[in-house]
Amino acid sequence: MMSKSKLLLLSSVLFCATVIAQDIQSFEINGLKVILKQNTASEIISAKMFYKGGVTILTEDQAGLENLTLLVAQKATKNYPKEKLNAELESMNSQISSTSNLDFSSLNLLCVQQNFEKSWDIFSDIILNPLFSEEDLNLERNKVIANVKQVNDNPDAYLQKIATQEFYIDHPYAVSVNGTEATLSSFTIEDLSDFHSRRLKTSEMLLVVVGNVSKSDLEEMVNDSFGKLERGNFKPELPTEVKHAEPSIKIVKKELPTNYIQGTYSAPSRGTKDGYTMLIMNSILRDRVWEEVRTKRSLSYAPSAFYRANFSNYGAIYVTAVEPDTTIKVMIAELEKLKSNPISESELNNKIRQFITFYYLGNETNQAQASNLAFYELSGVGYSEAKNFFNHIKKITPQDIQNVAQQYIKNLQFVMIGNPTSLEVSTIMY
Amino acid sequence: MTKILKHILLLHIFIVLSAFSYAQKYGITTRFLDNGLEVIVIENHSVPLVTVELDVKNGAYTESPEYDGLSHLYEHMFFKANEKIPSQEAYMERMRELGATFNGTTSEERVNYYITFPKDSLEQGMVFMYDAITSPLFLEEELINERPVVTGEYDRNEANPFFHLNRAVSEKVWWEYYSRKNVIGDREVILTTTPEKMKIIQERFYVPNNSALILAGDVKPDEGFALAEKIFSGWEREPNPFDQYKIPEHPPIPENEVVIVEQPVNAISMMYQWQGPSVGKDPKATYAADVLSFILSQQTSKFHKDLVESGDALSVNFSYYTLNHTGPITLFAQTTPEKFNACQKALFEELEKMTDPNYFTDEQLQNAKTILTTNEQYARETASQFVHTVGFWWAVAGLDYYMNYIDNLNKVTREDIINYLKTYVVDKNYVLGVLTSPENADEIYLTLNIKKGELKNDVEK
Repeated sequence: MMSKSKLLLLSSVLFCATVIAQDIQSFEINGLKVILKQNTASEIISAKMFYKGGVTILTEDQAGLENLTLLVAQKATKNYPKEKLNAELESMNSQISSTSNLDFSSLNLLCVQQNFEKSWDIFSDIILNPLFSEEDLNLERNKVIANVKQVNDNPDAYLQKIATQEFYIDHPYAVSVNGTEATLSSFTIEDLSDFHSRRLKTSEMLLVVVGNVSKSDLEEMVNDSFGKLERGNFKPELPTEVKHAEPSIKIVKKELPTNYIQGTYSAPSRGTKDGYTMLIMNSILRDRVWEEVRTKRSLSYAPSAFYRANFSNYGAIYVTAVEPDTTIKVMIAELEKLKSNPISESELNNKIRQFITFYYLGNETNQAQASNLAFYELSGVGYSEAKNFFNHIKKITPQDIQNVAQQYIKNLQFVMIGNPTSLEVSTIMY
Repeated sequence: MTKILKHILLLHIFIVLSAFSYAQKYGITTRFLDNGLEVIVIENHSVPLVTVELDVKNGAYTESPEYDGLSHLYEHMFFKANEKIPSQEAYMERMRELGATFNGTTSEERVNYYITFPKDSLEQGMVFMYDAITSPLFLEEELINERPVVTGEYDRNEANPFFHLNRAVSEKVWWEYYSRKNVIGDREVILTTTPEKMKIIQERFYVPNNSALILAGDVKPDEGFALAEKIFSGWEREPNPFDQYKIPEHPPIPENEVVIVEQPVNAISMMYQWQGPSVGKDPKATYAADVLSFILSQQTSKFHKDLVESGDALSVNFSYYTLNHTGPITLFAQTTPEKFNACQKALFEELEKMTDPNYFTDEQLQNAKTILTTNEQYARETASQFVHTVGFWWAVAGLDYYMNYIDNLNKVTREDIINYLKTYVVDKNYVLGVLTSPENADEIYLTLNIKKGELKNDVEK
């Protein structure tokens, strides 16, 4: 028989799931899939045009090309020369930006409802008719090169860069999202323009809109803007899972007041059964390393555990510590405990309850909801699965947690930036 | 009707009346408890969560040198044993039972603590926060354990090159009372502190009439006020700490100064800093400051075109940080080593142009007001973050300042902006910090016409 506390937990979980799932619709116009979540309670509208494929469609020589193309495209368009484009956006404070990651890129619009049509006109013109001037290319190129170089100045950013490189060796993700000084310097106006034309096909795109917009209005706007685009026949292939056969450690010597450390392991992609279990397992792991490393032993300010959201995914333990040897051993002991001892029902129930909070905190804004729906869709799970989040979470058992820990937490790829005075490498090969 | 029942009924009417009479815009409703605690409810039913935040008027500004960094250490101790929760482990366990996520922050003029949880945990969550703020134990063992954690945070800050630039500039801008702007504090003070010092901070500042309780999210004002009354009324009012512990005024920067900070960096960063207005003394200047910052952030502005589109700077920003005890005005620019000379000259030329009545257009002035107004609208979408914004304004400027902020921004004129610049920036002493790699440092010294070790000089225009 189910305990009273579990019943109470499940009823609140189901209630919450109902609230978040309402009013999501999808339709297709000229091969462009559109996901619309009507949120009549909000005056803010988020529209995001996603470009599928991420770095997997780029060669090594093209590293950073999509990111740079989107940045330069926002500077001026056929119908909105630079001065007019900036003046119009500033007069409404409608915000247009772009993001690129390993799996996809997006052009993002955020505006208040009363400015949606006018803002959409600019947003769609950036997608369809960017001007790509030499001057804008050079300005944006210099900024991106400076940012790429500055990653090395910040130990946390540098650690993430090296850890990702080391983990995804010989993988499609080995191509840098932002590019390198060499690739960025090589791009010409023609490269950007050609790349833009090649990507402008509805099968390569996905539009997600969240806000107070009716389906009929949106259909009309999408049809007017993108109804005549070429469809293409793009079918993205999901990148393969990484499997390291051996544990490893790479030490990057740098004079720092503390050592920055990350140990990375293969993990299931989100939205799968193992992915939901890994979400909970990782959160329990994060609590435990916090308690053992920070609360009980005062070894670090920032012990943590990550579970990323890449389509080919990884999890990691992370810490900054002046005594890396002792600290990593404590963290590895926690990994081992997760594999050898099932967690208690009460720890699992409390964690699931905490996930109600995490989930909603991650979905407070229309922008966040748009990104979440797109992730489900682009990862191949399907946007409608977003509403089943709590149904999957509530079915997880202590045995599932243990199985996932045993299956995935192995062959950690460690990266350490700093200058450790002592380190027993053999004991952290896990 | 019994006397008690009558009392309860009267109390209820008072709560309801108060809630309505203080009903304000932005979904914000406030009232005071008898002990002086200001209770603020921010209604937002978009997700079924509530955030409970406690804000205290404490932080670096209350710290004499022997307390440098202890507001921050105190913030860490909040999440440890109290009379109801015997240890930090038990504390964390209780958080998980509530389904809560939590954190705290310390800044110059505000310390805040917040937990977010499903709405059915509201009462228990408020009790939890009450116990934490009213009955911390400051166990010697927990304090000793926490010292290396805080210095670990210090280590992480020191690993960031910008920390060194900020500190070098701050030490000179706030030269007389640096501890009162130094949030992270002094390592030695942190490593030698005692439970007694923690108790002193508690007795002085952690009193209801120096604090605010903010409930944000899926909560109705009546429910929030009734629970606040029930749970927080027992917290006893004490004398206003600032009657006894006065905050000294920062004396002006005596002369222009330059400080070169050498760190392993790729770009060159320049930070000019002036002493700006105090919101309590010159609120009008703070509105003008914000409007000017948002004029200059526009891509159509002369400022952006002359500095960024010209290619001299990679990025540039002119901002004012609102504080009640002298907020800094900062001009920050990043450039490449090759462009450093051109960039620093261009920055000076731009500063000189700013008081020209035609420096910005009417449209840019109006756009700045629109941007500030809409940004507030965007911010209110996220109840769990907006609560921190409201708490900040409550501590630094008072809630009325925030509630009337947009109206006052809309009154800012071109003359107000010029007055602000003339009062705080033009021909006023500043500190310039330059962050550079050691390899490029010699070139920087040469360009600025100063010698290594002689870091005091007027910059040549």
